[in-house]
Amino acid sequence: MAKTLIFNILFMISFKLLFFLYLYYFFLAVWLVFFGISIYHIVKFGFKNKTTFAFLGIFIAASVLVLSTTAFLLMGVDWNEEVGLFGGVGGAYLEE
Amino acid sequence: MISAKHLPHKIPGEEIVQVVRRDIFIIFKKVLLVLLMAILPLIFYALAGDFIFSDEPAYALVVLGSSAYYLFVLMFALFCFIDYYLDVWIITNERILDIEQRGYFSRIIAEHKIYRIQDVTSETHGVVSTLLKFGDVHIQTAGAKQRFMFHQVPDPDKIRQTIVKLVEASKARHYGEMKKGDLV
Repeated sequence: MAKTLIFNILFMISFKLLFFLYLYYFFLAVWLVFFGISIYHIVKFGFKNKTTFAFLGIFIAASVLVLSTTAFLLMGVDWNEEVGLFGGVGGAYLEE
Repeated sequence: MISAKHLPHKIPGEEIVQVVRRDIFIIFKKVLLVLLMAILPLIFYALAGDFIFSDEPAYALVVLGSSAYYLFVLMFALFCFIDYYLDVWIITNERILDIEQRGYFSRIIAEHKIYRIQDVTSETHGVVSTLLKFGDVHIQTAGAKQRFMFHQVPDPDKIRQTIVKLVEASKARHYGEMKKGDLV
């Protein structure tokens, strides 16, 4: 009885997609701090030569590519949709 | 930034003879790992793409997750690059600068005067090291840190020869100046 109740509660828990977006923003903020520290290290302690600038350019370009592709792919997503914790996406399995 | 003109505490007349980093094979292993990490999600999408992109919330979650994963891979690659690129030994005609980057928040810089070097040994152990010509160079000095080494560097024998030549030239110059001073 208690187990069924817990399962029912767990299956009823759902989050808005917006929650995962905020989670992603938090990850992005931490990532940006470490990215900044990395760039600072290369600029401050690296050698003043073409290799340093080439690798800096590659890493910055790759980061911009990942972030812009993410933004492009997520255009038009309805962030108010609900995602069930154990009930599948949008509570699809909850209804069965 | 370090350059030939801006060495830390540059001595007048000092010139960079060689800049030594660990062998390219050491970073090559990490490059392979990064490539594997970058390819893995693509294999996953190829196998389960139809299922995971079936509805909008799943699609959004997969895109967010993939983006976070690729940013993590990028950060890991950047970290490996920093660990390799900022770990360096600079051999000049006056001293050897031993710069060691340990992670993001630990950096050790040691310098050893060339004329204080007493003994230089190069070592290559193992099949891969012998085939790819990389190994260690041990340097014995009369300084406080008596023994230090260049770890997993390319062509250790050539580096040993370079240092030995520099030591002979530096000692001749140094002790020559001292004798002149004694005469005056």
